[in-house]
Amino acid sequence: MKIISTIRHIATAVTFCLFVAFFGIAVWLSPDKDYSVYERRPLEQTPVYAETEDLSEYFTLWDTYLSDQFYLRDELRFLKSIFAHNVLLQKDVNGYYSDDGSLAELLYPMNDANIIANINLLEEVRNTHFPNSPAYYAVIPDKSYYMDAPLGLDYHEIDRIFRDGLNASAIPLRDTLELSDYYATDIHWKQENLEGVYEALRSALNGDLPPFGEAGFTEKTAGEFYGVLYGQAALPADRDVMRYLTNDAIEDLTLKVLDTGKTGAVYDTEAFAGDDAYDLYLGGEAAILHLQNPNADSDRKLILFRDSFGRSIAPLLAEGYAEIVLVDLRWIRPAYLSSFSDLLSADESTDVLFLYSAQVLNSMKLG
Amino acid sequence: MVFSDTPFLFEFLPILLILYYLTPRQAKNYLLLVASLLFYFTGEPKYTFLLIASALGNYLFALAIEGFPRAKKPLLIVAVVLNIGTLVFFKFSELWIGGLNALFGTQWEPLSLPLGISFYTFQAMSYTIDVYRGDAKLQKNPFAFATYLCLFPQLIAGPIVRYTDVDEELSHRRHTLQEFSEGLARFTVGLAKKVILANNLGVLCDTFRQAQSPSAAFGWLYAVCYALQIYFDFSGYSDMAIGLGRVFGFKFPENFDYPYISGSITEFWRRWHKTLSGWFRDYVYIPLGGSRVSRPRWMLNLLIVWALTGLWHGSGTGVMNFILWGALYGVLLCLEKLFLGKLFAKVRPVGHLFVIAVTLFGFVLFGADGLSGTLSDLAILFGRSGLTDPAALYYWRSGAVLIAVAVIGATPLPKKCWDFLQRRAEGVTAVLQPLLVVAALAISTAYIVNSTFNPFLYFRF
Repeated sequence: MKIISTIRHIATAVTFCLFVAFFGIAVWLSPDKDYSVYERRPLEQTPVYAETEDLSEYFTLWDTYLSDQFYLRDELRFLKSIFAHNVLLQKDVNGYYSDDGSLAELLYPMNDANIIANINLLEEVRNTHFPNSPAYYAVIPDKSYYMDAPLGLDYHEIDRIFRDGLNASAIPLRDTLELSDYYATDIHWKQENLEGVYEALRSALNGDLPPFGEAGFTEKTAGEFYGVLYGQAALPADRDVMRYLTNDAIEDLTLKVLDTGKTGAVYDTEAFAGDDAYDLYLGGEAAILHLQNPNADSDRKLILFRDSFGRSIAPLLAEGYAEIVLVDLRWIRPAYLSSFSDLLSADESTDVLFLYSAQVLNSMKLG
Repeated sequence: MVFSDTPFLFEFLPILLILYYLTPRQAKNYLLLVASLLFYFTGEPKYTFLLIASALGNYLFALAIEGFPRAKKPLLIVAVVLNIGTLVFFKFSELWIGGLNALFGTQWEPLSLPLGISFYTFQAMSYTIDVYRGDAKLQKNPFAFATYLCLFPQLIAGPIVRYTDVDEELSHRRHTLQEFSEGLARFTVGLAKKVILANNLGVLCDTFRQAQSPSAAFGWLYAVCYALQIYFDFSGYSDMAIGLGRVFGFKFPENFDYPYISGSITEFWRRWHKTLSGWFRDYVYIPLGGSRVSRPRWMLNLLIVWALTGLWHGSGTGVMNFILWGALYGVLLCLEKLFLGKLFAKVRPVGHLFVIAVTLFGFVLFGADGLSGTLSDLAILFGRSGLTDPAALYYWRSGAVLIAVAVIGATPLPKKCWDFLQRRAEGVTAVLQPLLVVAALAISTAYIVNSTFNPFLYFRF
């Protein structure tokens, strides 16, 4: 019996010591990383005492640094999520949950203050820059709306806030989408599934858009990818496939990125291979993008205030307009819009569309 | 640095273990002292001098009490006043600096509370008082005394180790494989209790705090989770401290003994934070006369002790909550001594239910933001914002397994199962224990590297 007990003691002590020694050494030997693709954030670098306010801050930063640069950090994040999800049977992990292979963020509690502030800002922009143009708004539901989520945003309340705050016509989208129209591992919708959205926008806007079925879209495959939710939730899921639609009108579009002054590709396959596959659409995040359609039958213009969802729908709408200006108020303050007065000049024939995902309106303040 | 962060687990601890077991026996205390001061310094750089001053001051007072027997009483009084005065000075700086600001129109900021000051001050006082009473031998070596007071495993959040508990071990302690291994296993159990159970329960408590109009169902979820969180947080820390003590050759007193299975409030306080209850019993309650006085005086003694216990937990403007919390227990203990105790002894389930109810309400008071916050929380429990809401039902369902595991973990059942297994199939435990240790370490590490900062609740005392 004593031998067994001794074996137990030796095995326990050795196991513990090897564990802390292995990770203790590995964290020192493994090279530091600058950025976490999974978490979409820069990682803490070795703190420099001279750059800290005091020793307390230095030691706190050191703790963060070690955790950020911890060996097998990504694998450990998955271990945590799997344990919480499969052993503790928690419905959500890190505020994310998985339902039948689809990942979603738990948007609870609703941040009314953010939504109200954002809609007030949109109204201010509309009133200042486009008082005479027909204005529309459409809210893109977050995917959990279609997941029978136990908790989520109150869309009736969001509708009310919009009605009260923004002087524009509503384009309802909730009935045009379903869960399969969103990527399983990403927050975004799939461009190839946007027929219902396209038709809803086509019937409301004044652009000369053909019906979806007559637009001659052909589908191409960019490749497989893991979306932003996969890394953040750290829950097992299958890869998504990203496809995109094109036709003659889209092929002839020209894209200018006003942030850099450079031209870009409507579908940027190099950007698809980067950190965020959704950057396939118009090359990624930018404050102001300008799409020009040289084959347009009229000189109608669409000014689209949008978030990342807008980058995938914009090319589909391009056939009905001579130009589309995409403005992302997450990257530019409204006060700077007057610097682009030529580009944003609008009259009665200019459509102004505020197209925002509820998730963005809820989680941040624009501008 | 805390036990459940990466710098401690993967830098401080392994390096210290290697150095400690390579260091000659005569130098081990010096190494522990330096390591303990470094440990404290990383968590509370600016108040490290205060810890050193407390060690030096109490060492000198004890020396003077032993050296000048005729003056020992005034010396003790001065020592106690200085210790308590320092504690009060920092604990209630928000109040007295606020008063000075109001009086002179100044804008002074209140002082932050030095980490662990309530714990190490009580430990230091126990030594000085014990030397005065003749219950403890004088420690002539200032470094040995400082090692005792600053010993990092118990420095910040207890258990409140008295000098007499470790007197012998400071000079002659044995290091055995069994103690080393059992200590590491105990540390791992404490780490898992803190990181996996307490922190996850804390997340559920936070959702309640973030809810806009939480229903009664949400309020009760909070009450249950907070009571469990505070138990696993604090008992987890005590397990880690006791485990580390054993690794370095010390036997610290136990601090928890499954308090939630108690059949009366008296029993609860024999099982919860035992070293604090014991401290107040030996240094306040008994000197006041304890129970060997008239009945009214006895009740008064109980009320004084429990108001002081509440006060010990409190600081700043939230102190009234803690005094009320302590007084609540004082009153209930009086009622138990007068008549309730007999009922609970006859019908233990009634007493048990009473303990659970009192504990839930007590910790709501304990965790509330001031008196208005307490009233608000209590109103929620009684349905001010409705009986239920979708969020409450969601979080009850989402946290059900966690809560069930925590409830079972708060009883002796897991330990009984483990003991049974050891008796009947020791060979299995020889394999199972290291596997469980590595699994608990891996899962705890997974939570630690991917967590927002979640300090130990008792660090604020």
